[in-house]
Amino acid sequence: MHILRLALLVALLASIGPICLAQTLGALDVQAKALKIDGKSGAVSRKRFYLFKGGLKDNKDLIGRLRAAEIKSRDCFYTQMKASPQYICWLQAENCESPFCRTVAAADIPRVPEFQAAYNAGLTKFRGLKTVADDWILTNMPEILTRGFFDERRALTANLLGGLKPVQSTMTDSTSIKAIFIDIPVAPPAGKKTETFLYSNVQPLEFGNKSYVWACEIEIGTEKKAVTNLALPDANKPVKNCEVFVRDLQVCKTEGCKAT
Amino acid sequence: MKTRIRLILIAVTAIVFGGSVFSVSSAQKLFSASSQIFSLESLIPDDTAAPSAMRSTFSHRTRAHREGKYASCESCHTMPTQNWATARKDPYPDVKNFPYHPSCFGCHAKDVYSSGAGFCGTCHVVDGPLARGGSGVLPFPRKSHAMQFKSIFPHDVHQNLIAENRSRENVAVGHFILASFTEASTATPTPTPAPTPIFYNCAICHKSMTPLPKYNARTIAAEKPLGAAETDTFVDPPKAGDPVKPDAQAPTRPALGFFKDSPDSHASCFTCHYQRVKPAAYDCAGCHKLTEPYFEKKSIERYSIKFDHSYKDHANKDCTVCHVRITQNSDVSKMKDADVPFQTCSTSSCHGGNIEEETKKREASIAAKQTAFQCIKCHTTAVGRYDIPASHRKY
Repeated sequence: MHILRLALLVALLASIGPICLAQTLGALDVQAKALKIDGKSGAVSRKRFYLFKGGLKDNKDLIGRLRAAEIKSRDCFYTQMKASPQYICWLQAENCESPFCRTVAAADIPRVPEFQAAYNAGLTKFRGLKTVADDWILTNMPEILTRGFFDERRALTANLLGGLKPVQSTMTDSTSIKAIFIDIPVAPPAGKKTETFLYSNVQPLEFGNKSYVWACEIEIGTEKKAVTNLALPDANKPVKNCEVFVRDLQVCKTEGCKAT
Repeated sequence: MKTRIRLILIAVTAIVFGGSVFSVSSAQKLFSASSQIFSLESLIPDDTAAPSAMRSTFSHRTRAHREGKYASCESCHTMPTQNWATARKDPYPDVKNFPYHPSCFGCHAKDVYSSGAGFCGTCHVVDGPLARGGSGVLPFPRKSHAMQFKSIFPHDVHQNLIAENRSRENVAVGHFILASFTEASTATPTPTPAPTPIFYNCAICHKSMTPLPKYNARTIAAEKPLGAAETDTFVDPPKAGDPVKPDAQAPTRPALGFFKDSPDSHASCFTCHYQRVKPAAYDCAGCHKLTEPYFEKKSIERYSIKFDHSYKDHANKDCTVCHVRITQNSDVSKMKDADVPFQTCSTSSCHGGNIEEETKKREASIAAKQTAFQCIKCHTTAVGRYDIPASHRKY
């Protein structure tokens, strides 16, 4: 009899197990379409956001590192790496962080010394094939000028995370400018239907001459998707449940880029 | 005396015959020894489990081919091969040939004679001693053979790298202005419009498939359908110049814009990774990982074969609006498909209503004890005739 009861219990648990499991996943939309920086929307397009367990207090070490974070601007990085002004202007023209942002047009090659040198090296290496020298121009450029800035920012992110493992990370898209987190494992504490999480871009977002970092807490439940809007402090009024760090960037002037 | 001579002749014949039958190449000896030592180790299935015959399909999975000296891909493969400039119409430096004889003959020299046809035929068109190095070589890689490697590709890193902020900041596309002196001309020059920049995005690697691939509705083997599949109706896609399709509500027959391809050669990778940017072209193992041999499916299988990537209200969106997890994916081999979580459609302002509507129709048909309504907005009836899954009801 005892064994029969035990077997029934096991069968019952096995049948409701998957249902319980399905109910422990939540979702979060971080919306940034309405956010304007310097009157421009779209600043947060294609930016990575991280989701952490716990709220602002639980992640005070991370918040401390974000508060103290200093970043080197794109222009300063490339200036210090002795990139030509033409190359920096080429990056600025479409606000690119690296040459992996857009293709190098044929007209860009004679204008930018780094491209011209890489193209010439490619012609030699690729048996005079112009199409290969042209299409593969980045493989003949110094790595510090191609992925150097990316590597530096990646190292910065690793430092800021300080070994903290995010639950998830995702990127905002460029049309709805939304960071969507799905299938978030949610384990509400006793008596609550939601669990507290923290979302942050961690790596300061560079826009104009300032950098921006958000760290905001949000309640995520399993019954419906949590939705939040990214905002900036308005006239010294802080953003609710958020720490927003806006810092001036060191300016490295580049000469010669024609203004529109 | 005669008997003695006969016995000697028989013995000599037996020795000669036995020697030819039992002779093994150094490669076979090597395997034989290692298989005795490692016979219990079977974490990676070994194709040399039956060491008797040389195969005409080269396997990278034999112990001798993946350990010791040969653990390094470049011990055999050259990047680029000497024939790269002539091996294809639009040439680029690539591996377009089998490894050269020294890579094989270190262990297999004897096999050329003992099992010539089978051995030489691995790489050569002509089997046996008539095979000539450098000519009569099969196309490389051999597409008729099972794939032995899966690709390592982290979408998340590449998404980070190509991410950019397109909000322009008072800088013209014309970039740096070269100071120069030109003589005044009487003719007014026509300003050349700046070319539209081509940004790196998903379309760099994933383009619309040509020709139209074979496609099928995905089978749902674990469930029993609620009824037999009804006939699906499609309209043909509008031809070039046609403003709209005749019936805007009718689903379009799958066309080129429906399916996106993925890189199947080194071409797109090498544009950035040929040298310097790691993993570089010479580091084969940086991108290729040995796996169970497999053939790629000849047909694309989808839950929904009604989604047109090229439809205007789809084409104007960032791919990550629907392929939400792609920016999180660090290993392409762990993706089971293109991965569009259901929520991306069901919670959108565009299609949330469709799902609700069809769910209600299904429930109403079942309540009225009629034939179950088959969901056809996204699915063909091959899929739409099954029970509505839990994922479709959550959000």
